[in-house]
Amino acid sequence: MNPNRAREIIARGNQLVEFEKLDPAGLLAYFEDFAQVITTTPTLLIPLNTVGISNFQLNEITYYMNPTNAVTYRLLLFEAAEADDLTSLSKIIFDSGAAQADSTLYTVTNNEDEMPRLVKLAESGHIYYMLIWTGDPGNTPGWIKGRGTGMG
Amino acid sequence: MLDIIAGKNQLVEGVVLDADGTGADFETDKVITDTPTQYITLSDPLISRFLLEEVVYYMAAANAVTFQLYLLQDAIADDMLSLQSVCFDSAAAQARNTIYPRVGVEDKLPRVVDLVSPGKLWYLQDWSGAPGNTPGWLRVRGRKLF
Repeated sequence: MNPNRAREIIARGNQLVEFEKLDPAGLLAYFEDFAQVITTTPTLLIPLNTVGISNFQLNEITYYMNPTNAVTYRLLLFEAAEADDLTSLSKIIFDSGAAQADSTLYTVTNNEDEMPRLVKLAESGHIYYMLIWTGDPGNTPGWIKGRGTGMG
Repeated sequence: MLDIIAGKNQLVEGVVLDADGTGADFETDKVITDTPTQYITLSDPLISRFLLEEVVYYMAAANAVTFQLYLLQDAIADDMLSLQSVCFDSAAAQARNTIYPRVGVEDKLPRVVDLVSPGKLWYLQDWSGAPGNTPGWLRVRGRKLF
């Protein structure tokens, strides 16, 4: 291996990788789309804060949704936006499970929650997400945030 | 020396994906003491040693059957040597149409894997009955070791 490449990979192991989608007042309409279906191509993305990262270890996810209406949701994160049903499923890197409650802070960090995960993004710096609502959430302030460390 | 340190932070991946079942990657029924005949090709064809950290799989079998998935470091015929090569065992009764992300100590991961044939991680599925056409995928990820 080229020594410079080796040094770069070593350094990435101690580099914070973070992504965040934050809509404090619901004005940005990041989370209101309730037409998302798990086997379709994800269309919403969260950019990583670190340029040029494709491979990383995902250590933690926190999320919080404050929909106007009394509905629940399921959050999915994908490492690629694929169209084919089964291929799309294979790109899931996080699945919250159904019936996530509104106005509840969820923190996912340990093995029981299937963390950490090794992620290989199809598009450098892009994580796709999908929210499957049980009904129309209405205006939805909230956030999705993930953190991890870089890999080569 | 730099290679060794860097390898510990370098992703290793292997995927078998059969989106419509036409690849016939998952229909073969074997028991653990059979010689595995199918393998996952790893992203680095020269790699022999790596730390296996996650195994994710999903089988959409046409028939209502369950399965047990094994990953093996070698394709060995002899019963006991075959058992010795197991580096992942899903346990029995894995359901179809279910995504299984296996990570962490409860899933007996990570494991140190030392492949006999570089770049080839063998797999074997023990089905409870004929699965029929089986779209699905099997993915492993980890880090390089030297």
